[in-house]
Amino acid sequence: MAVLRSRLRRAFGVALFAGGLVLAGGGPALAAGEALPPPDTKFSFDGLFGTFDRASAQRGFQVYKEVCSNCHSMRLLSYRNLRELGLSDAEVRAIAATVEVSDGPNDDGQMFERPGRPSDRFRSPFTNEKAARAANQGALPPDLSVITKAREGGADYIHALLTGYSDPPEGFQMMDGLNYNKYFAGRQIAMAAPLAGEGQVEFKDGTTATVEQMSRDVTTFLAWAAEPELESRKQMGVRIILFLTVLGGLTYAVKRKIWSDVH
Amino acid sequence: MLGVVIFLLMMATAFLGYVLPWGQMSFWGATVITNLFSAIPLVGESIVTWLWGGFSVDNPTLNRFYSLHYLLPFVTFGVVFLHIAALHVTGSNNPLGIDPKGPQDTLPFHPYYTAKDSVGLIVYFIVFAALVFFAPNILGHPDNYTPANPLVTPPHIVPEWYFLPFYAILRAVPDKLGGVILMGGSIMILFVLPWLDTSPIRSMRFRPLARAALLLWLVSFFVLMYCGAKPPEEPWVLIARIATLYYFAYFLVILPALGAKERGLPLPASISMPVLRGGGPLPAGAMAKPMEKA
Ligand code: HEC
Ligand code: HEM
Repeated sequence: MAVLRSRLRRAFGVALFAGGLVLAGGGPALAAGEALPPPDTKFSFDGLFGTFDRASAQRGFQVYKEVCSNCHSMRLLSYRNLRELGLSDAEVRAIAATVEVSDGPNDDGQMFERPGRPSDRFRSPFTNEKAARAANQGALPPDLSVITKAREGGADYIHALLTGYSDPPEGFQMMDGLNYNKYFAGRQIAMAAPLAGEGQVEFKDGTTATVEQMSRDVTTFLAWAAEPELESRKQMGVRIILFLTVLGGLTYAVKRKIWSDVH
Repeated sequence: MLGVVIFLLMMATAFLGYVLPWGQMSFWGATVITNLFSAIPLVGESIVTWLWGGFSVDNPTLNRFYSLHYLLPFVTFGVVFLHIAALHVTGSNNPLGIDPKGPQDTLPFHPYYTAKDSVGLIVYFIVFAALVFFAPNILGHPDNYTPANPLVTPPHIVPEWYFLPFYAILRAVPDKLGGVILMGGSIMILFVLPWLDTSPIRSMRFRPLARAALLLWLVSFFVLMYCGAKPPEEPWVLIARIATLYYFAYFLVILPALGAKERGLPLPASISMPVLRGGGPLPAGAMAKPMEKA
């Protein structure tokens, strides 16, 4: 799937209108080093009948909460959405209550802080883009709500990126403050390896938190966040295509019957 | 010709619709395409400002594009109606391109074509459902999942797949105005097609040379589609130029020349002769009232 997708994508590829329409902006010229295509990783949600591995997605949420949420927002999610991952009402309420959200204004016209409720959106680590950039040497950690849909390669890419850190090869010119990652465009990324060593988080279900495992889990969580409708979409698709195939057979028989006196 | 109007309306609607999700590709696609109008001498800049409702693509642009996106499908619907009315003036053509000579040459639309077209429709539904349910993002661009940001230009701005051939023609011309003219011309030329094809033979089946030229034209169309997705660098620019040249040469040189020169194969005596191998009885259903032809 992902391979097909990236192939098609490449076919649809690149382009900027040459006739004098070079538009404002454009990042700094990137040093040599094209990104490697992410390897095709097997996920539970691949294929026609794929579903999200709930245990993995729950661990992934833990990784997001303890690691990624220090820098990345997920503004499109609410705490109550976590119930879809199999967390109980009480667990969701407890998770929401661990953050302070700003609410108001109250009758005195003042904003105030209160503990989060399940209906609140995930709290963002920074109040605005400037604050996020200031804390990250000018780089902006993107919102992760739909990140697997917003990057070529999807979940494969996210997993590859999180596990793709290494020392730069001999002679590779690194810019200050950037990190070498062979799957990132230009191979230099402002995010330092977020998953750095085994045991960085402690999973409640006893799973060993290797970098590979944490990355897989958080990627599953992010894929669920981006496409929570994936399971019902695929199930409905299988049913509808079966239905249409039968209907198509019947229609074809009717056509043959009707045309039989002509041909 | 009404058909070409429908085609243009459909393209406009699809473009306007693609702006509505207001992702990065929406925003920058809108910027690139509306900017094309600035190639028009003298009034171009003013037209662009007028389209934008400001000095860049911004909220007013989004609002008016939504209104237009809502409006145009209904206009299309009206033109489809005219299209069908016009069809009833001349009647349907047929793959052989010869006039029906009697009831043995025609079939009523219902039940024959309704039944046949239902099969095609369901085949289409299956392909459509496969895309919707199993690969909903395959024809889209990941950048459109990033909200529009006027300060960040995506490295590659590409239109949706159905616009790629025209985009390739646009970029094949080194001059902006020239590119815009050729891109527009690539569709406008369909309006004058009846006068470019002067051959008395209506079906390509009996015109082997013109048929080969037409197939080659189709090839050039798909080559352009491929080039439209590629970066504007060699060898794609050169290939796109050759394909563009052929695209226009087909209409402006080959068709008129063949219309005058090509002799063509002998036409069959009637429609039912080749289709039913020698006439055949009147089908029972044909006794039903045939489709009215005004
Ligand atoms: C210390 C802050 C920090 C933490 C913690 C962090 N990130 Fe990032 N992340 C960043 C920054 C900054 C960028 C922007 C990088 C750039 O543009 O060069 C980024 C970019 C990304 C990207 C986008 C890469 C691209 O293709 O543009 C993804 C995906 C990502 N982070 C995922 C994660 C995940 C998953 C975690 C948790 C395991 C995580 N990040 C933890 C700071 C952080
Ligand atoms: C000929 C008929 C139409 C065509 C070809 C068409 C095409 C499109 C396209 C290509 C998009 C972008 C989808 C995306 O990338 O997400 C879109 C979005 C949209 N269209 Fe249409 N459209 C048509 C009719 C209509 C009509 C009649 C309405 C409203 C009454 C409408 C309302 C919308 C809205 C609200 C969106 C934005 C939501 C979205 O992006 O999913 N469209 N359309």
